[in-house]
Amino acid sequence: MAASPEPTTVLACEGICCHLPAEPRPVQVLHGISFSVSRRTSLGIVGESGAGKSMLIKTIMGLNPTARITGTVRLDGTDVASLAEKKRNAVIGRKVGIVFQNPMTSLNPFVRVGRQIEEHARYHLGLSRREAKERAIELLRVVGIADPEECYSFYPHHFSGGMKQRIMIATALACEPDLLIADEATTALDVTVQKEILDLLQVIQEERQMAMILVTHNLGIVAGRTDEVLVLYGGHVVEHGPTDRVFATPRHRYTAALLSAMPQLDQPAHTRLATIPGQPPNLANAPKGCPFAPRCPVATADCHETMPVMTVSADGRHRFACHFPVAAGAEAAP
Amino acid sequence: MSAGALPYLKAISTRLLAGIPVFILVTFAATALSSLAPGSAAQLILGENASSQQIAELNAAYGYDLPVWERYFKWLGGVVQGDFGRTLFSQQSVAKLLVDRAAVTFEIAFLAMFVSFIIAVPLALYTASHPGKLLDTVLRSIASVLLSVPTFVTVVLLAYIFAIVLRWLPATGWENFSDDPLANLWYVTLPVLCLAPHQTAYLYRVARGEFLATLQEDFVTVARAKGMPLSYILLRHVLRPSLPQVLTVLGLSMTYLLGGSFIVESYFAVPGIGWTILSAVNSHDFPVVQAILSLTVAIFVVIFILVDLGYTLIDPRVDVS
Repeated sequence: MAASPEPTTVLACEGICCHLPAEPRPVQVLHGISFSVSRRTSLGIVGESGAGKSMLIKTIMGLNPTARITGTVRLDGTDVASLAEKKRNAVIGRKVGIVFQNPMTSLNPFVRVGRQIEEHARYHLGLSRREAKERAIELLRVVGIADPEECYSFYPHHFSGGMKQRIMIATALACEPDLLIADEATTALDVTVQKEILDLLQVIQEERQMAMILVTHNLGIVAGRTDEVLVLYGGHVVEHGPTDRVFATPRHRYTAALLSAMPQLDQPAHTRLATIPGQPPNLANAPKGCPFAPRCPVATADCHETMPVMTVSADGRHRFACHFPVAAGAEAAP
Repeated sequence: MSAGALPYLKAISTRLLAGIPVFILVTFAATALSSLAPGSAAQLILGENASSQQIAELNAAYGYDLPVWERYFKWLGGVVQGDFGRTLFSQQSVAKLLVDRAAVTFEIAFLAMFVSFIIAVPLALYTASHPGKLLDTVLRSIASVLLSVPTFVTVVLLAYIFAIVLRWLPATGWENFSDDPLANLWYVTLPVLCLAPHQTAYLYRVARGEFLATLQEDFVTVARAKGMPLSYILLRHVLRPSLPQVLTVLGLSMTYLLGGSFIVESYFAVPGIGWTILSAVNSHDFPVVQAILSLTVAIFVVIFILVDLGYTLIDPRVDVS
């Protein structure tokens, strides 16, 4: 996964804010999210339910028609957020492949899988029926489906959950995208299948030299498989940096608490797992200061009142937004 | 594909067999009810001044003095051989009469259904994909109004406008398609126009709801993420998954329409099933009533078989058996 000397940026997001229409006033679900992913690298986006992970992906993909969105989304240098809807869909559909959470509902039960894999390749790339079929069968082989020629004309109900997710991956690859997004792609699968799918995603990403975003609530998935990790909380980026560094020396109190809540293999049996007390913030009534302050063990009055600014490490690769960060190099203590 | 025909035949025959008890129940109930109805056929035929002996003779001749179950089995025996008896007054074959009258009702029903389908489904598809827009709001209100206007009001209103004020269409009468296709079209328009609005509104609401629900499905989000144009998504990914529900509604309203639209047929004096059964009941023409009831049951059974088969054609997950 070693990055090449000058990786080209595939996706660059700058200050993405998203307001969803609601009564009595719109709810802001994303607060100035910035990050970028380069070719041949992978980014993990982690956060618990309601942190804004899926909202962020939907916003990038333009799947949030009712939301008010500001900020820029650059895809291979093109500012897609400023394009007209039709143009934007075409650019995104061609350059981004996405695998969603639930393989059972992501495939249309009324349409043969072959067509679902190839339809956008035919539309965006103008492939002929035969070319598209060849490509779809080849992709089915790549994702490890036995008998791809036969499976090409099956309906989705012939496949198990893991197989369906493989088909979804084949679908995501059909236009040879520059960016592959796995939005909780393994959450609905059982653990052994989960590992197979993650390994498959990793192999494919490396072979095809794509950029990849792994969205998950499971830190374990991000750990060995991504170059960078972006931690979201309450619609804010709270910490962002190289994965090994964030795991070894988390600076934000939330990241530290999350990591200490993970079971460790060297713990004696029946050790109580650490938990983070409380609930994630209600976005309709978000706290004024740090979104994590209500649950933070070291929060002061200031934490509740003012939003911490992003602190960037000396080498510029690790950033976090906390008034009282965990000391660098210190153990993640609650 | 040829091996696939057998399960269909099996499915059809089991459903037909299942329809037999329903058929017997309904027709027997009709026989029983006819003996409870006030007045008697004999009295009606022979007039006010008939002696009780004359009435008894006529009853014996037609078998009206037999117990209900005996009368019923006699009738059923005839039906099995395709004999529905003769009409009480004109002594025509009931079966022949039924075929003529059913053709009229079927024509009106199918045309009304066709018109409402080609209006309601595309509009529903469009408005479901543009919810809350002006057209959606307007059509929803129109549908509510059309649904709440009873047919007898529509009939009077449209007859007044098109037959009396504008004089474009005839107020009453009928011409068979086989006799004169143009005249047939001229006579059928107003009855169809009267049945279609209610059907259209109903179908529109069901279809719009179904389309809206399908548009929420994950696979539609996937298709959008793939950057497919809306028209493609609607036709390829939304229309077919929504059709089973639409088909159910279509089947239900079809049974209703084919059973004869009493109001429309009697208002425009159209010799269909509804008009025929009304006059038969009034004149105690029992063989005709019985035959039309049988036909109605048969229509229900057949339509539901067709709807079931339709599911298997639309949905690849549904097996024939």
